[in-house]
Amino acid sequence: MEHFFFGDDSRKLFGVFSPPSGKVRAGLVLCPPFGEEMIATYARFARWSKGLADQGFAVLRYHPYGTGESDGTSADFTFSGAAQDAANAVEWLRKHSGAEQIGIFGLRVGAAAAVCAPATADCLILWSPVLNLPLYFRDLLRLRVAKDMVQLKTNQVKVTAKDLTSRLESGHPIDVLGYEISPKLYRELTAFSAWPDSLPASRVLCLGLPSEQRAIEGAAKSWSERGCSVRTQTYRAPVFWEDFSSDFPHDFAQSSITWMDEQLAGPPGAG
Amino acid sequence: MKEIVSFSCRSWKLHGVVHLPEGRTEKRIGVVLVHENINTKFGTHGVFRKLADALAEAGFFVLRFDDRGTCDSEGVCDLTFLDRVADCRSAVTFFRNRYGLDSVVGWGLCLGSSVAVHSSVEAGAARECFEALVLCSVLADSSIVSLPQYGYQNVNLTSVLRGSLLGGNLLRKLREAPRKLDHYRKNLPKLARLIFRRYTEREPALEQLRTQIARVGQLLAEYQGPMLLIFGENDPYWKSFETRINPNDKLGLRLKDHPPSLVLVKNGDHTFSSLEQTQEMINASLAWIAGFRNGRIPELGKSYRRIEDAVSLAPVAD
Repeated sequence: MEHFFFGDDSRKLFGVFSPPSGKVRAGLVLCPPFGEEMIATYARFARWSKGLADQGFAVLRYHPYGTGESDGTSADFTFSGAAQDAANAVEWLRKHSGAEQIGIFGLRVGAAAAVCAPATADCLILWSPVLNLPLYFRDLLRLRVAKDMVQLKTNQVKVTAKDLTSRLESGHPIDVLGYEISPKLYRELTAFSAWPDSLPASRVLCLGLPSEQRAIEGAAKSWSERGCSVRTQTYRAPVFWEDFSSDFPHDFAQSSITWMDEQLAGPPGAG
Repeated sequence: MKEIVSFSCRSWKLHGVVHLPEGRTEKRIGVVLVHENINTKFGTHGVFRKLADALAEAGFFVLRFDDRGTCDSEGVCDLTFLDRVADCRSAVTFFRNRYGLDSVVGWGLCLGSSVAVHSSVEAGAARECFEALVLCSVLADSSIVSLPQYGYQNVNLTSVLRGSLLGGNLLRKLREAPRKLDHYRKNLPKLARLIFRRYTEREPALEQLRTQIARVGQLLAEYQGPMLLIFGENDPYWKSFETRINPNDKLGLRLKDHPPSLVLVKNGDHTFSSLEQTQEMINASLAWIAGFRNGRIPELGKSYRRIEDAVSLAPVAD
């Protein structure tokens, strides 16, 4: 494994590269979710990336600007920035991995950022992508209010989601579970209305839970209209990005590897 | 300024990040941050990263690291508590030697605090020991330990029943029950399944963890160096520490040569998960570690409820 910082001096990103054991089948950039979802899933996806490397994939995990070990603080995290960071990670992997084909994998907001990345890749693999960004933002606010209700006595909870929105509207950051959320992130997420005209790759695999099926089919239709070949599938699994646990969606993983074999690499030893 | 580092513990290669102090310092003091559970070295809401930046700015060397076979460290490992203790000792030795440190302070959160105490009290060599400890939300109650396979939920039936039936204000709980029905409907079946699993399947790692955590109270009493305890006042771990681990100073902490200082962060939770709480925790840690460097443990600010020298280790009024 290699650990390093990459990107412009003004925007250094932390990356972890797991080189493939043996001949490289394909490269894969892993785009993480944001906030506590990133923390909760970090160990599991690090472990998965090590497993993928053992199976011949060259895997790059990175921390978007303002998260993890990368420069900046949570107040600097923006959606457009995360999309650009995904593109920069693809460039790094293309240059350093020796892989002829590169896929972008994204989880939750990381998946949405991957779809919007100004990059050129060979496939997109999206797990439970956040497809309604304004709703996602409202959920972040609800999370803050719910946490106050759990931590404080009911009569001490003075902040409402409306108050938080007003604060953002007036140009001030807010605190959501220790993350400083900027007015810019608020504006980007709440104003988001359409996917880009062109996706980074024309082949897309989108996986989710049964409760996400309708939203996934809607997005798949929209991406198909943009010329993409989209395969969707849902699996029963725990809401694995919410809990700090060892639950891992093995069905998602197996389906993704099989699909990558079909689309990109071929199984180990092929070619 | 940060450096990416790696060091070994037995055959494992561990990955870490060192924050270098800004400017020259007379005494070279290092702080090793020991994270909670199987988590990242930057921590929930980036708390270790923020603390490390603040400590480096104040003139300290800081090491954060991932345990063997987890996160950004090499390989894959089903980590046990004793693995973590061994990794921590290797981290201290590496840090001390590589950076020529005069002394090393251990700073832990939750399970990380328990690891820091274990690795210091039972260290085989002086170079593996922490000269001082800052323990946040220390996990010392073996009845509430859990593992990732249980989603870190408390799966000890006695403790769950005690917490849900006897803990807190019963009247308030009943009043709020209708509002929480959805929450109960969603979580109770899952909790029941986990508890069933805990009692029907043998889980040696959980048993090892329970055994080791049960010793933390005694190790706190045995530890000879200066110590700061930080809890969030709303953290159930504080209540557990106060009522089960050290009621009426059962451990004799006030009789120690260096009685521990205690900070309760107002309205604080287990991981200090708001910007305000985080800042209070960082301020307290900084002030105390700076005092340790200068040979004088400071009085902490008025914004804290505090008990100097841990007289009773019970909360006092503002």
